Amino acid sequence: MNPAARAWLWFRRGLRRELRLALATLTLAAAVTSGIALFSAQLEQTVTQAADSALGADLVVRGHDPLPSKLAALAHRLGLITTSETRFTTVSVAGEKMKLASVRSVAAPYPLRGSVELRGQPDAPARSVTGVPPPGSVWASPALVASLGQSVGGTLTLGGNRFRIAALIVRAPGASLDLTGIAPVLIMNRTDLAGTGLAGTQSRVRHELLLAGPPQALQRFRTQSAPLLPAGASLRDIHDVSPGLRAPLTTTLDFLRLAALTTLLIAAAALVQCARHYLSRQHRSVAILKTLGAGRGSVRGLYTLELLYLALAASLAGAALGWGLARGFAALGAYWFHLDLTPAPPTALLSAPITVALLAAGLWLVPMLDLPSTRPVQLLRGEGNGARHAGLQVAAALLALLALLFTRGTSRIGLTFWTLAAGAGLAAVVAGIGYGLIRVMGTPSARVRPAWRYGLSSLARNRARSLGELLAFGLVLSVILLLTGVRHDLVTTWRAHLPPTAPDHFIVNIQPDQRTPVADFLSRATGKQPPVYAMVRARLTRIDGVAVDQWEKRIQSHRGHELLQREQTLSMRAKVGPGNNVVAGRWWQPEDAGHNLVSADGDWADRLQVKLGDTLTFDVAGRALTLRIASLRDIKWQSFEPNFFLVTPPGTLDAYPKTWITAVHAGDNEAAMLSLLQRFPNLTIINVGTILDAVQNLLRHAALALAAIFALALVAALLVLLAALQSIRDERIRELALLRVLGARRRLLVLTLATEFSTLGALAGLAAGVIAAVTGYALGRWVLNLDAGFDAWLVLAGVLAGTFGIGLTGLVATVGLTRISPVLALRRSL
Amino acid sequence: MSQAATQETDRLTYALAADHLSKEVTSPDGPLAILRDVDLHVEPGEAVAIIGPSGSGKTTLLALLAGLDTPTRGAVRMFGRPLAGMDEDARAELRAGRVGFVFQDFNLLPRLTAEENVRIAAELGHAGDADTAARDALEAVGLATRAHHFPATLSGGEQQRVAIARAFAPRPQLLFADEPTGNLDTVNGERIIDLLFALRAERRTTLVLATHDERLARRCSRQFVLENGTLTA
Repeated sequence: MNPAARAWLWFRRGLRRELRLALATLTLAAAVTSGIALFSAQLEQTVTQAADSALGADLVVRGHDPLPSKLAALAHRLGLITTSETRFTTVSVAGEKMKLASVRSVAAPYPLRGSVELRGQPDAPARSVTGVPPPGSVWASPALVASLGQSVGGTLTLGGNRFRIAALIVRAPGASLDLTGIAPVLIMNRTDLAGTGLAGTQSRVRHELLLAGPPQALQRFRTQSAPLLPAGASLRDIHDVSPGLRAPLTTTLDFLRLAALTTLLIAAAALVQCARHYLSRQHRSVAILKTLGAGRGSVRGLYTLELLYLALAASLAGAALGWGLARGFAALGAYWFHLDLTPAPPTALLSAPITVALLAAGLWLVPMLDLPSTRPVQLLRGEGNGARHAGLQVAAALLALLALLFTRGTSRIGLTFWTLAAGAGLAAVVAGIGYGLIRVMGTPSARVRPAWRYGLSSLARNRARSLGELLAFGLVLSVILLLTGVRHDLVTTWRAHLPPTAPDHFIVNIQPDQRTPVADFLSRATGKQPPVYAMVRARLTRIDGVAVDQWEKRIQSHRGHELLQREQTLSMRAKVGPGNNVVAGRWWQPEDAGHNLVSADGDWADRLQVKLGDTLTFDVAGRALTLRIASLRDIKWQSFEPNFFLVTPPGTLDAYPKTWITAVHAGDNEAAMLSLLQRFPNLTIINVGTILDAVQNLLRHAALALAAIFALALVAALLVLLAALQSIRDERIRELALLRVLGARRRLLVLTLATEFSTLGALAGLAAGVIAAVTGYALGRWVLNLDAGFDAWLVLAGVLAGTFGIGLTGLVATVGLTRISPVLALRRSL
Repeated sequence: MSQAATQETDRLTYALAADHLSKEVTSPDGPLAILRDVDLHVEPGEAVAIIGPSGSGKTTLLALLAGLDTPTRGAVRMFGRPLAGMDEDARAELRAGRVGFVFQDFNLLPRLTAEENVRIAAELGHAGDADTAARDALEAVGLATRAHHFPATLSGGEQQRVAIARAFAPRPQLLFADEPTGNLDTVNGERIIDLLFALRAERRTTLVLATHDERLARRCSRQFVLENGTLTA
């Protein structure tokens, strides 16, 4: 039999015994990482595609000057499909009525992603269309048509040409949450543009090149197009258009990775236990092999090949399980939510062998290096083998864990840092608490019932073993509690920020005298009084007394330049808005009302290189207004509530011309929105339903994934418990047998085990609860940006889960040992 | 006599030779002598017994003679080759196929069947057709029908018979047996000893047997007594 065949036999036979748990642990680790990698990729692709549908393309090149044809040529060379669009704002006229329209002149193919939803009549069902309006006709938003007093089939004039209104736009790609300068949308055929004579005269024409294609080609386009872009032109994808979409996706994916990572840490703990147990069993086998003439090399080869088979089996089984998990999520999503997830690329499955390789190399291979140096004489003398590579083992384990953290970790260093800190904190706290308490319990009084006395003194007597178990149980419990706590915070935050009734329509351009009647109308239509916020359009002219033109030289980023040059929107608020956190300075008091103070978005301030205490001078309808920055806020854009970069105290903007904005959830009640427009034709209504749908679908899927990963973490927890119990099984059998020989009844043995495990569980639970509460708070508050509080209940939950969960699991796993005949137990070769 | 001449003499005369062998270990009370100046010369085909009570150093002596451990002082020559200059791998290579072991607690590999346990010894001992050697050895100990059983499903007597089959499968020149009946009842113990001596006689294998049982020791051609670390004839 050649060495490979012998190792294969060795491996197969090992699976019947000690290797079974190791294979299960490695398979679980591979399944978790590949499943989460696949699912995250599915989720990201699906959300990105939904978002791209909202954008109408995967990527848009945008500029105020005509875009050079070289850009389209480059895109074609890279295999991308393209189309062009020209956008400008102009007055549309019908009879006596006029209304500002946001015109999009489009050419086929259009749109490149998603479709345009149209209605033939206001009450007709919506239909999805890809293509452009026929020459001579336009598609227009109901708001525009209603404002002009027209209907489908009527006409309107743009520039020098008259157009037939062919359909009403329900939803059109290219949605933007940019609330400045918006007007109802009108889509026209590109061939009609020249005839209107408008494009040449508009000073604020925006030229767009829309692109779609594979991600790699898009990435190449991003890189190669940089030198071809004219001044002022930029590339945009959906994340630039709607920051609200990126945040929940990132948070969700980060949490999924955190959950996967912590599950991996549990699996690693299980594997360490398995390796220790395996090593202790294999020394004897190696000693036998060496007496038969096997050299170090053949022993090393045997165990290396065995590990290779183990890793291969775990990688294959784990990848298959991970694939099944991801497909399971997709199937459940399709069944429950009627959502189609885009299949992820199979490359995500590579995470399975990578994880297995890291765990196997760091936590299994290095301990096994001890085996070839086993001394055969121990067979005759019954000696143990001391660990010869203890330092190397610790170093390899740490390296493997670090590699796991960084390869399978999250996009944020903070999350990885807190996971590491929690691991180190756990080890220190568990060891400290455990050591102290075990010492205190070491000498129970003789008045204590025998079962309690034996159980507690067993903990104290086997201090090293108790601390090892305490660490394993503590790790399991703290991870489960941490995931429970953070998941609870995550779901609570989602529910708070994005309830099913999150606003899906923004209503802007509400005139001062319409504020009350519009609010009343919406209150009747939606059954809820909508909050109404002031909007004052302003241009930034000076920062700290420096003219904006001069200040601009300090700004590096393109986005910074854009923010500086564009029209700003100021609003007033008495209290900090929902989803806003003051991160610097202080929010105003009632006595600050009317003062020239402003609270700025922290990100906005960073991009414009302004700080707390700086003054901002605005031109508001020809009047200068200077405001001092009193606070900086962190804004959660995913809330879909109206949010503003710049907010002043109440009263500060009273003297300036302003309009008002509100946001409501209309759902399918489009008729109410149309009635609102018919009554107040000047209003502009923006439907953000597409983007909202994308985010809500994402969260539904994520909730599903969270439940699944939680279940996997529980399985991993069970494995670590079993591994910990397996590693000391023989020792326990001997102890119990001795007690039986000395006359202990079985009932006493069972009670002794129950006392030992429930006490261990309670101690581990206490330490784990404290760690989980502290780490959960830190992660939620500072890393995942959730509305996290300090979950003190986790400490109680930890103690209860430890006492009963570990107490019961430990008892169930060991109670069978009390039935083994003491003679057999003491005599048999273990 | 030169070292080369000594080796040549040993090769022709002794299967195993130990000269002035001593073993000391460190104890809390200082160095503790387990063996003191032991001399032992075993001729090819001879059976010698080392008798002594528990703790007398029998197992330590066996370990040193088999090259499983190294002495504090003195030298061992196996088949005329000194073990002193050899590392562990070289000693394992020397044992492979030429030296067999039978232990008190059987020491079968738990994850291999009876036949696989025997076959792996034949393979490591380069015994040619290992499959045939394994089957023949099991046949010889009367366990051909139990070839595919795992050790855990065999009785103590059967396990020791498998261990004997394993020891003889590579056709060793030298066999070490350490209390081979220590874990067996009287009836099974006698069967095992009969089997061991029958195979040894048939194959002319040199035997070094450590036991506390004088009756068993008498079946060997020479007996030595080990007491307080000193060996006497």
